[in-house]
Amino acid sequence: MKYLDDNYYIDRVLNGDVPAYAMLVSKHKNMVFSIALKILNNREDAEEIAQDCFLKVFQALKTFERKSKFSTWLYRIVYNAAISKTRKKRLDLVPMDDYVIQNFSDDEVSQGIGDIDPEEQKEMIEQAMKRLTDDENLLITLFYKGENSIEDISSITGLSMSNVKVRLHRIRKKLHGELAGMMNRALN
Amino acid sequence: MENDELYKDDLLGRMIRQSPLDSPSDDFVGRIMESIRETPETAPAGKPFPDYLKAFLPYALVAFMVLLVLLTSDIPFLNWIPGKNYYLNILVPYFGTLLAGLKNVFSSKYVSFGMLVLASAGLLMLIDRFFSRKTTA
Repeated sequence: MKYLDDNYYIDRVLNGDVPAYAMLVSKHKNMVFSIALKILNNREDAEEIAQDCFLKVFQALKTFERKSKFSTWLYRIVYNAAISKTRKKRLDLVPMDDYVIQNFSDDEVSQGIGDIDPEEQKEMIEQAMKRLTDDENLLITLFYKGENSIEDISSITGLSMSNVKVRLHRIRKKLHGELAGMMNRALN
Repeated sequence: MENDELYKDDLLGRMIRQSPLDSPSDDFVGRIMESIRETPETAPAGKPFPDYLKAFLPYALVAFMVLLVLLTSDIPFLNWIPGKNYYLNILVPYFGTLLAGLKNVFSSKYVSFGMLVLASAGLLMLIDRFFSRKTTA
């Protein structure tokens, strides 16, 4: 389903067309749920938080000043709600060093993976992503699947932009490492 | 490391985007819309009541000024009001007598001072309650 710009639905809701809000929910429900799930690690809790957040956002819609994207505002609310629910520490500001980044060439890996058929690629990346921590998964989801900019992610998570950049770079390296490992195992 | 540079790894980006996001249960949207319908007072449309009062204030001031000018002028505009004679000949003297009875109470400086303090405090509380009312969620 093709969705229109968020502002179109927001204007309609603010003009009294409450059912238009269903389109906004529909458009963002998967990303909102994914953010909550990656932090809470429990489908029921994640769904509850996601639902609460959509209700809160509906109630506060008239206060949305449109200085940032609606999605950034919404994801920040979900992120904060999920973090509060777990009483978990926010993402560490210290770069992660708890895994070994293998010494390999990104181009080699990309070339090797490029030869594999798409279904297998999908399976491989899902396996590789399972090896990431929840925080890493959240960042990579926001960046690649949510197509948020570094600035948006910084605004959502409260991390500095440089920290987001460093983390994404390292996660990418880690994913490359995982994919290279899988390819090596397949070849041997 | 710019945003574009991260996207440069197009294959990795494409692969990640291929794997679907987690989805909530099928009736997720329906449940949210149901909750919204059950709590219509949460609807975002419409201005809060104090905003209406604030918008009305300039008109009230203009009306007050017009009334003040009319009342202090010699224009006999009150002549058409029905019951004017009853008001002037019966009600005003009656309230005059009533207030005269209270005059003794107000002649005490302690009572007057106490009432003045109470009235001021009450007024300040009302103003505080009115203006500290939250207008945004």
